[in-house]
Amino acid sequence: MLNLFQISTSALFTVGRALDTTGHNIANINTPGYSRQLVEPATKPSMLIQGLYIGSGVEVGQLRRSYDNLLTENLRDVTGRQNHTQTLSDMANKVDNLLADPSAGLSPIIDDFFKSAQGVANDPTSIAARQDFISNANAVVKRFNIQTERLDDLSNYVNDQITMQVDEINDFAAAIAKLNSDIVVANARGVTTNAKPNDLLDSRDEIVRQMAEKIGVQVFQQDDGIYNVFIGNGQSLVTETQTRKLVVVPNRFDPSKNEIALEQTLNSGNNSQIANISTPAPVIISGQITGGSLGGLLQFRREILEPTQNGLGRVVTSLAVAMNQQQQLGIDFNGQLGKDLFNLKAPKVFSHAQNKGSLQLSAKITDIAQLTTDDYQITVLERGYSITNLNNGTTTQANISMIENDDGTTSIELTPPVDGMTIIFDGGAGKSGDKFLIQPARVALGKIDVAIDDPFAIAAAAPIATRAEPGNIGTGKLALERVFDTKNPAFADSGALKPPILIRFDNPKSTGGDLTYSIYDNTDPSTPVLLQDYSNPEEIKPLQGIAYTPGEAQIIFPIGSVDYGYQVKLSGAPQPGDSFRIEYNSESQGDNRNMLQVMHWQDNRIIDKNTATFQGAYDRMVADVGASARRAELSNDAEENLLTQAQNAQQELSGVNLDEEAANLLKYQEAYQAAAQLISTADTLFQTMLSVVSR
Amino acid sequence: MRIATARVYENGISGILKAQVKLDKTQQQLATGRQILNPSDDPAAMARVLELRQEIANTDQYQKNSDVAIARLNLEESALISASDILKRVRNLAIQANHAGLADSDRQTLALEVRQSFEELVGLANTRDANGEYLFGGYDSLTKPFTVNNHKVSYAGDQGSRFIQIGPEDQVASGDSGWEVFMDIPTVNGNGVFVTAPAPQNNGGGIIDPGVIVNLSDWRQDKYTLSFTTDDTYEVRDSKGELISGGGYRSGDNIEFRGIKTAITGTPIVGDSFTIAAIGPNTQNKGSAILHHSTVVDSSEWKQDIYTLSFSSERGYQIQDNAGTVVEVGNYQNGRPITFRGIQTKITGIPAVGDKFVISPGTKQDVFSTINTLATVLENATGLQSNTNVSSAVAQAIQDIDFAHNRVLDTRAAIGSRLNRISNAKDGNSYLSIQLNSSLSTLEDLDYSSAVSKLNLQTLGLQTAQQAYIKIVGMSLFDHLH
Repeated sequence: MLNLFQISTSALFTVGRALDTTGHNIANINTPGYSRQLVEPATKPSMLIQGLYIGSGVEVGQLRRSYDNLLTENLRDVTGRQNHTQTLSDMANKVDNLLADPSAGLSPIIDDFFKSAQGVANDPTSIAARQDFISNANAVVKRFNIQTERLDDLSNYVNDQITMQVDEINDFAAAIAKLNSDIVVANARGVTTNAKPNDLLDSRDEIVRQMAEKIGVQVFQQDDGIYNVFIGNGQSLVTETQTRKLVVVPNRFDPSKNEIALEQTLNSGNNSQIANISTPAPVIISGQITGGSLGGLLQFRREILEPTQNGLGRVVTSLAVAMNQQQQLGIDFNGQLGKDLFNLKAPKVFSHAQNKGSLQLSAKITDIAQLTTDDYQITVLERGYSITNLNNGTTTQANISMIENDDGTTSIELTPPVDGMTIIFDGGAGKSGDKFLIQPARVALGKIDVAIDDPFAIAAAAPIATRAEPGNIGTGKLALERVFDTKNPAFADSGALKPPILIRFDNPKSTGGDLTYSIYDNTDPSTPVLLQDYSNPEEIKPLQGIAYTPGEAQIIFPIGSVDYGYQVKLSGAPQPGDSFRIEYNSESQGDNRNMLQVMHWQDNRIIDKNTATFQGAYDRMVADVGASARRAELSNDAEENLLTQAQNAQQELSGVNLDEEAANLLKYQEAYQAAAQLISTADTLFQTMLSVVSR
Repeated sequence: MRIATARVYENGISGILKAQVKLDKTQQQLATGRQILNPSDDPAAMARVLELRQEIANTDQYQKNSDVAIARLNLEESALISASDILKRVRNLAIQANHAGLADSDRQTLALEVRQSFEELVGLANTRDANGEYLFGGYDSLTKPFTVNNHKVSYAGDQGSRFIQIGPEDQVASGDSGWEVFMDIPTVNGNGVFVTAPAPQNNGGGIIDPGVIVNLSDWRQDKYTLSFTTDDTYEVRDSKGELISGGGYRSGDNIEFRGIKTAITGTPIVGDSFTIAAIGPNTQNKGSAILHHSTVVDSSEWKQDIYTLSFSSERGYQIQDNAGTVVEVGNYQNGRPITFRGIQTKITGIPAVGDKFVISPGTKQDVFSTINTLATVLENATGLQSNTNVSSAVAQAIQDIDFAHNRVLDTRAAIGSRLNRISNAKDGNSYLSIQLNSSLSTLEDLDYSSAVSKLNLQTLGLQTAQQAYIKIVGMSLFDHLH
């Protein structure tokens, strides 16, 4: 009799716990990271009464959470990867959209620029056409600046995100350390009944999962249940109840770029502010971080943003260098040699923050065909210097040389030049181990503008005039083939050639009947002086008796040491005694020959070792970014599916199902009612007994 | 197998979201009419699209350039047609002037008309285009190219001609310099190889034709003398006196020898002779000296003749006219100007004793001088005795005008062939443009029918996902609890 009371109360109590748990499950249906809990009833130990083991009811054997370590770990890993690809894809799409935007793309503007060059070529005396050319040059710069600004915005966004997310990760790490210690305490309290702090464990797993959204993590669980959390290549972030803090530090070369560093000392959360004087400096680990949105941001910056900035810069740098060179090869409306069309500042050289020497370097683009979109590191060695391409690892050993420039000045340069750039020593002295970073193709905002605003300063004409002497008998023609160097001393005097040239066909008798010509310095037309080739000091050769076959065009210059920076072409059938003059092209407003050369640059495959035009290089870059964005999108699609699968698998076990809880509720309600009925029955029996006794 | 209720919601929602994203993309494609919205949609196709857009832009520009070239060439051609008319008229005037019966006053009238044509031609040569550029100034297109001073025209332009890009690898000259069209024209003596002249002591009325080259390889540099052995037979001998050719004379018949052809008209008499002299150095010269072009420095002193400069020693020379009269003796110095009879020339190099040079200035003559000379001859001719002089001058003028006219015609032919080339290039470019645009369209433009059917399918998909969601999330055991 007495047992029935105990049994029924044990049942009431146990079923009550089960109802509570069902309620707890329903209540937490939307709690992230919550694992549904189960009451596992167990029979109470039976009592030996009168030689019989009589059952004594029920008790809560275990309050268990539906949890599988592997499923949770898998979910965490996939979350890290998916957030990585998601961020990469989102960011890549931003660049993709920027480049594709027809109103923001550089390609149509370059088209317009060259079209306006054709306008000048068609009508070189038109001021309007020249003005249009300058306007279009400005439009190229403006469009480039817009794109640069937008890419800079993305770069700043990455910096801000790094700062924000590092803060969040530090908070998560601190929370995990705190939970580690709480869980150890809770486990110790429940050790006798093997009770587990299920909700604390869930919270910790959820925080680790949230951390994985920001950064890829690895978790190692100790036997006592403590989580040790690692990032990157095994850098410890949480060790038992202590953390290492992530900090944001400026890039050692380029302070405008945020990097992630890990402090080397452990904080136990509450006394982190006590600074140790001998604290080693935080170590930069940006390069080792993968996974999470932070991993995605860093990959985006490294593989899409910076190459795009460099690629865009290279197109503009090449265009500016080429146009400046071409301008210099022509003469303007006033007959003066052309000046630079674009102001292009030299690429910035970054000194490493910990350089010990005082060496100052600068760089100059000398060969646009060789210019890459890569970054380079220059290291001062014990002897000499090394230049390393940071993208492919190629290292070139270099030495310093004194170089004489075109304008007569000298400079100290690293030789050999690497990939179309020359590195110039501006002063100071380097110490072994000092490092410098050069991004030769990068053109920062404000580093380029249009140098010419005077339409008359556009060099549409060629500086050379060729003339057949009046009275020539034959049909010979002399034409300018090309001008390749107006820094040549031949152009040193403004408005005149030094020297003007006379080409005269010799008397056939003096050469045995062959048609030959001689070349003279025509400074004094009354006494032309035969030119001499001094290239072989042993044998100075006068430029006379040069054979010419009528009808077979011949390119003249350079001949040995006689190099005036231009070439002319002799054609047709001249007669003995015929002569031709080469002079400065003084009055030539209608001449468009240099503008025709400007136009030819549009189709000139110069970039990337003579494989791509300016627009081709830009288009290639757009396609590359598009392909990267596409790859990121595809791998994100895959990761999203994997994430859904991982979530489904984990939730299949741990998630709350309301129908199930409703069924349980009914089940436990029935059981509770039955147990209550049991007490009522026991009470009735007890009252019956009492009434018998009291009579 | 169980499923968490929250997953039902999440999976349902994510299905709907994905369907919406797809639908949105299709809708954007339909709204813009573009297949590729972002480079990432199809990076390879996008690269090609950008390339095609550039090619199309370039092709359009080439079409515009072609129009510029056509406009310039058409303008030039119409100027040249007028020039051609003027030259034809001058030629007719010259023929009219070549009448023995003309009175001086008639010639004066003709001369006046020639002068008018002269002015007209100068005006034409200074034609400007719509931008104010001189058509025939070469590169120096803002300076007036032809200026008249005392009936002499000087050319201030240069020898350049502007090229215009009409295709990726195709440039066409959009004009010709005035130097080429009007100035650098061979004269009657300007076959460039030899000059013909009557001997000064001739008594008959024979006129020698300037002659043309038939076969240059048969030509031998020398000074030939054609002399009449009777009134109607002639012989040709070279400078050594060897007989080269000969025959019976009939006025106007071709006289051909050593690869050249000339003719004599009129009534020469026995003893008359004509010279056919190679220009430049004599082939027998042993030294290395060369003769430079001569220029007239004082036209009042100049007497049209063939002069022979010969070296009597390495340091001394003498100049004889066609009749053998010594007109100048001098000391040779390399490159020093030699002046005689109002012309200036020079010789450079090392001559040998006995070397000879024939000096015949004016192997090229601008069309203006030709017309001016004609007018001057007509103005100055007085009396009947001058008829022979006039005939000779007119014959020369007609030849010179023909040379000039030929140059104009040649230039017009060149313009025609350039216009033809441009027209071909334009046709090619417009065909290319169609091709490029259709390639671009294939890559870039949306296939509406397939896009619309995709839109319908996607709309259906979204509707289904939404309905399924409502059905599934609406079912709960709790609904049946009381």
